Amino acid sequence: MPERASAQTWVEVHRLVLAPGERAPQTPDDTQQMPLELKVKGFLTHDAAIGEEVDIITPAGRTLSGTLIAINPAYTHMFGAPLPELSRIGGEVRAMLKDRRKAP
Amino acid sequence: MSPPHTYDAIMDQKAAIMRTSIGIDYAQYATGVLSFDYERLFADTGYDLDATRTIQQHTAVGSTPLVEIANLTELARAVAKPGHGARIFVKDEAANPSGSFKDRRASLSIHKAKTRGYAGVVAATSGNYGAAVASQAAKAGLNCIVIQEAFDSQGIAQPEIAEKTRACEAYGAEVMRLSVGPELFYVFLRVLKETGYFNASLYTPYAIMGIETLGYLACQVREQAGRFPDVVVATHAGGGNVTGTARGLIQAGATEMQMVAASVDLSGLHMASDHDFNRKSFTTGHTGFSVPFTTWPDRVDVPRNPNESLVDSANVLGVRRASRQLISAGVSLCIPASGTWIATATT
Repeated sequence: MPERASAQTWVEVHRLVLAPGERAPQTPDDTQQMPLELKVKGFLTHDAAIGEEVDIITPAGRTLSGTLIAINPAYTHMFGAPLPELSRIGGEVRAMLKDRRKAP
Repeated sequence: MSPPHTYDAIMDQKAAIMRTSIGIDYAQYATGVLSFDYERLFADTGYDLDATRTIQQHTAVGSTPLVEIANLTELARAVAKPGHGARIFVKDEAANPSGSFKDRRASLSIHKAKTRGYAGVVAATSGNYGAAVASQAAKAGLNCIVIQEAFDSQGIAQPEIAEKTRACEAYGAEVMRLSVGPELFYVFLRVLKETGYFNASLYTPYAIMGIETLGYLACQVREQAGRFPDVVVATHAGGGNVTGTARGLIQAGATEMQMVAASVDLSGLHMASDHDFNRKSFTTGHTGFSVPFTTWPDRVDVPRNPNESLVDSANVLGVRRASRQLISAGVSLCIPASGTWIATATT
């Protein structure tokens, strides 16, 4: 049973903007084979379940339609593991400064 | 997609949509094959440096501190040739309201949109500029739509862009998040046409004039070092930043300094490739527009952009390494991501 949201809930919708055959001519091959997709958040205008076609009112006041993909979606981005190539730079810089200040 | 909204149909209306949404006909300023009348374009905006400063002060944009980074000067002197190793100062643009110099670039556009009676503004941007436009629009009480290239075909978002999504939404903007591709511009034109909103893009003269107040950094260097800077380094992507900074420095009287434009060399990573998108780990001044677009001048922010001879570049890891070195030497953590102006003065 897909999760349901009631009207006025903050949600995210998804829609296809351009299908693979409709992409711009200058688009490189790997991108050309993919659709251009859009995700937008806004307030649901009526009760609906995930996967249904819905309308939302965006913060700019526009009504947009799309497939309901998330209800009150969380921000989940993060920055991954530290890069080993960068992890010793702080020590190198401090050592250089120390040497420099010891020099006559 | 119904026929009037196909890629070709919308792109064919580009000139008309741009004229309506900015109110500028760029063609009238082209005075020859390579020449372009910047002065008349800028004069026609109705703003000068004093007006720009007043507008920016009204929303707490600008007047950021200039900080001497003595550790960085020491590091430079450790590796510099004898007689080289100038004092290094950093302009702390993270002190602007939305956290980057892009507030300067957004401020005049939003002021113009407000005074001309537009109901809202639209900007196509995946980086700090979106947060700046959203912040300025919130202050002005205008609707705001930010269009981002945000995720690849696997649905994986680039984290720096995702953070700007969050910031823009916090400021009350509608954020249209698109998958990878140059048709971001097509969606942008469609939205301008459908909404009738103001085009708050980085390539308008407003976004370049907004930068000119940075020229004050020359006076800040003079206060601390007793002379104008010898070299000023600024990020170069679309060129508006370097052009605006240089124009501002000249207006401040620093006519002898050398301007260096810093860009990321993204060779091998195609700007519009779905596969390469999440291998770049940069947005803002690092989108990769600079190197391909400086050889195609009218594709950048500045018409007939002359800045390519000023560009020095580093690869992705080089930039991250330099950022870490700056931070380790005492530059604020947020500055490298906020646009860094490095000014040097030999004393």
